[in-house]
Amino acid sequence: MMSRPNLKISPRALVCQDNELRGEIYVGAGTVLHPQCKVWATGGAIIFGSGNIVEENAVIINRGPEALIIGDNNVFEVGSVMEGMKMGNRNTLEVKSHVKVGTWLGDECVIGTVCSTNENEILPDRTVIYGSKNDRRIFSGNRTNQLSVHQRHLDYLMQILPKFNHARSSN
Amino acid sequence: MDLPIVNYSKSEYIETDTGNKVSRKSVICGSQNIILGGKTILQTGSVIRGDLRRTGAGHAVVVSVGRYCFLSQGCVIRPPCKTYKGVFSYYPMKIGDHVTIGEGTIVQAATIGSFVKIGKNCVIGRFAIIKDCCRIEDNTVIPPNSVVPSFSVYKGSPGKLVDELPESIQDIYEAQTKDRYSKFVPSRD
Repeated sequence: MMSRPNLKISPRALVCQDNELRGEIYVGAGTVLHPQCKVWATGGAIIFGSGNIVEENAVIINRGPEALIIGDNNVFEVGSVMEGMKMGNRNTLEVKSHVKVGTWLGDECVIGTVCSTNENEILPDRTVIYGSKNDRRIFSGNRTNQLSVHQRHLDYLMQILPKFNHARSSN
Repeated sequence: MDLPIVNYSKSEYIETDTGNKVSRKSVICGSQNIILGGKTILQTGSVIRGDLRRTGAGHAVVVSVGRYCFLSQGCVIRPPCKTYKGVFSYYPMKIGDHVTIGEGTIVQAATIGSFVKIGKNCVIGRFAIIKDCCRIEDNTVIPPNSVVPSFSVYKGSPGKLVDELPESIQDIYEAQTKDRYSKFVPSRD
């Protein structure tokens, strides 16, 4: 049985059609959900902040009873899976990365391509997971450049995606 | 090498004039920006993003795929993006002839040459260049901006050179892709 998702989408967000949304989902201003992404709030709600990008085949699942709160300016790249408990701001989940059940992500973390976290792990701010053995280190540089690129990416998607895709709105 | 005959239900696939076979269950965004060269097969669940086009007016080809290509189930073809001179944009991607892309592979390359075989669950990073006559093994990660030279076999995460291919590989891959296309036929009923 699939019930209609309960969506609350900010008028300034862009949620494409042909994606799988289930349960209670709140989408903040400036967040972009590409076509073919999956957001399943089968337990509690999923609450997106502003300026997030969720690309195709990315999966965000909340099975737990509490709401999954996702901060601002996060990127979920193609095929990434997010099953964690909480996410801060400006994180990047690269292609096919996996955030496992119960993980807490701080701010500015990067989960590298095909990397995964452990279950019930708490990642401090600026953790980078990389390589085939899921090595970790703390990022020491600054990400101001990254942020401006992210902002431009968002502006681009807001301009281009509505030309080719139909957008959803709140119900 | 003899491939088995693969039957598909006629209602699922659309065959174009040039012999492309495209599954109705594949996702094609911005189809006006995509070129399929002919006799290319797109299987169920594959995604091609033609909507991520370069900014600016006029017609733009975003993804061009050559002849006798085979895009397996659940693979994602999406053009690469970067900022250049302060402008963020996606850039066109070109895939040559006789290219096989395995299941669940994600391709964000700039170019893929002809006679290339990419395995299952690979990730081809942004602006990677794969030259002609290569093989990428299953579960390989090719990092962004890297170049895979001709006649090489890459494997691992990050992908490293593990072997070389003989010069005859061009004919072998050509025969294989043609064979596969001819054996991809609708079921009788």
